[in-house]
Amino acid sequence: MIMMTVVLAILGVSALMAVYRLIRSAETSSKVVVLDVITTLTTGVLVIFSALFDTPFLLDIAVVYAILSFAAVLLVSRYLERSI
Amino acid sequence: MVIVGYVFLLIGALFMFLGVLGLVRMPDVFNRIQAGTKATTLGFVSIVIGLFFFHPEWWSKLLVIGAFVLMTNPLGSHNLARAAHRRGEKMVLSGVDRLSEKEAK
Repeated sequence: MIMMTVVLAILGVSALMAVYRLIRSAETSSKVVVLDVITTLTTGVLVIFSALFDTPFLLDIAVVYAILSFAAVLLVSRYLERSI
Repeated sequence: MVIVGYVFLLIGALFMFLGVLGLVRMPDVFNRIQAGTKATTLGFVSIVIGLFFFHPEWWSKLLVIGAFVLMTNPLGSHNLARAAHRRGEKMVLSGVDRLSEKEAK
């Protein structure tokens, strides 16, 4: 239980650092990179929550979240490339 | 078994932290892409493997989500890198740009 808390704390600190980078970065493409990393972090936190609360349906939510984040990254990068 | 799971979870969290640290520290977009995406993909797959040791009966869902992230994260970062290159983002550290040389031919 304590180890789960430590892992979640490391992930939370990483997410805070990524949000700092998201605010500070100037170009749009590097903001999209940071958003991609934040969604991967969030998917990891969902997977850990499903073990912590013993609820396997959180894994389904994590799968849908990963699919949506992949589609969002593809769409935004295509838009930046002006080839949508 | 649970101790092995904790070790995998800790490795995954550390790799995700290192990926975000690279994201904060790296100077330009392409370095950020390769620091952020590779390290966080490894960290996520390691977290999923660690979770398998806690709940072996969830193996099918864990396999689906691990394989999905392992396949789609490189695809997204590849598209992002190409979009950034076509937008004319500057590379800070290296002067070598093979894609521009290839497209100029």
